[in-house]
Amino acid sequence: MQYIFRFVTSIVLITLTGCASMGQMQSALNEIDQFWGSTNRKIVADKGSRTLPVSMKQAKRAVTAGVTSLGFEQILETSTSMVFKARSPNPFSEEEYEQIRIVEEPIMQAMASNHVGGFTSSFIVLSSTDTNTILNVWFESGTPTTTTAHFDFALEWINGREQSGLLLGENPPPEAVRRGADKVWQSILDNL
Amino acid sequence: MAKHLGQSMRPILFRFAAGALAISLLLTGCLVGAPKYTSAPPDFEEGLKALGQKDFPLASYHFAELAKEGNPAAMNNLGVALWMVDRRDEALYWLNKAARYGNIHARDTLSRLGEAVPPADLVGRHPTQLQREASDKFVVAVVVGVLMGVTMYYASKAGRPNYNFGSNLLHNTPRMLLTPTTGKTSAGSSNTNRSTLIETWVEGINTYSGERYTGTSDSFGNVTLRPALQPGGDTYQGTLDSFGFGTLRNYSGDEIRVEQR
Repeated sequence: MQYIFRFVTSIVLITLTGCASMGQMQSALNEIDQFWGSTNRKIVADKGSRTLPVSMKQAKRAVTAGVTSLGFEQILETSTSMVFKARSPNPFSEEEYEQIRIVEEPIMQAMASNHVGGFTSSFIVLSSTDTNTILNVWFESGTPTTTTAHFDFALEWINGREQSGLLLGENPPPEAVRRGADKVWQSILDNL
Repeated sequence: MAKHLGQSMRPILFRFAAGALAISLLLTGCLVGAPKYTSAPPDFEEGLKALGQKDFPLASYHFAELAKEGNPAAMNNLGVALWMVDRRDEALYWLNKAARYGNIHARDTLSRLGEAVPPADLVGRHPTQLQREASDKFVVAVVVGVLMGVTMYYASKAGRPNYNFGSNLLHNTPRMLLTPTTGKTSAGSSNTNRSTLIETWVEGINTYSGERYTGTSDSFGNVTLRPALQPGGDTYQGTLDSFGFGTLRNYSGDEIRVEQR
């Protein structure tokens, strides 16, 4: 009987671990994170800045009101910048995040499959609970009645970026950044 | 001692096997449980249909799932779908991947967009395809191994082993093929104290001289042969090894190599 157990155990272990090495897993995570990082920088360059028809003081007040209404709390403020933090999936609701995840996750897994194959890539998932979203906002005064506000997003792993021997990504999916930027701006404009 | 060790190992093996199965069920359970855009299996034609209807989520589902399998055409179409919703950087990423996996449409599209066309350096090298090939080889090896094991098991159960090693044929000593004579097996030998001894009547042909011998072979491999046509001729005696090979000698010291069939 023990030969049968050994055989079954071997098959299970080969099925589970024989598909990809840790190095392949890490290279998959790196490729996704680097590609998302470069894409997000372009998105933020395009969507992350707006000139508001108010003074800097009014702009900061509108940003604070708009962003906190999305579930963020302010963790830092200087004369020209503010930093906010929220537990993911903020600034999205659970439903909104699920709509993004359900479309973006297979695309992300297809990227990972180029390193680890289709089966193992299915274990790489978008987490909505283990991260904080960090929102950096900074301001530039234009005229006394105009202020340009810029922001970008980053992810912060609650239990650290290194988990189970893997260095996890710190860039959100580009589609989340696009929709997040639109939602944050809309909320700020609603509070001007 | 060996039995004791075997018994003490069983709970460990039980736990190990149960743990491995639990992990696999947990992981596959996660896979099954993860909601997808649609429960339909990925299908290239369905993806094309969704693309025609400008249904990006559905098209991306079909093509992304197929891209995981290393399908270059699906990678190309995923790029097209992303381009359709103005996600150009991601579209170019997939068109590049498709081109590297050898898709000519992706190469053509990149060329028409004025983008650099990468070399088709990944054709047939997608990890999913490589893993599938390795898996197929593994399954074949397992099947062959099991068949060999079963064959050897039944061969060992059938009494005398029936190996026929080619190297013995090169031996210069005269060779004899020993064949059990059908229907002449008798139990209980009188010349030993072993009550379980079984003797088999055998006959052999000296492949060197063509002379025919008859005699007995017991279950310990002891063989005695006499010339079939000369009752007073030299008797050959010897012991066969567990593979059914051995050397018999007569009183004069002449040797004859025996291979049992």
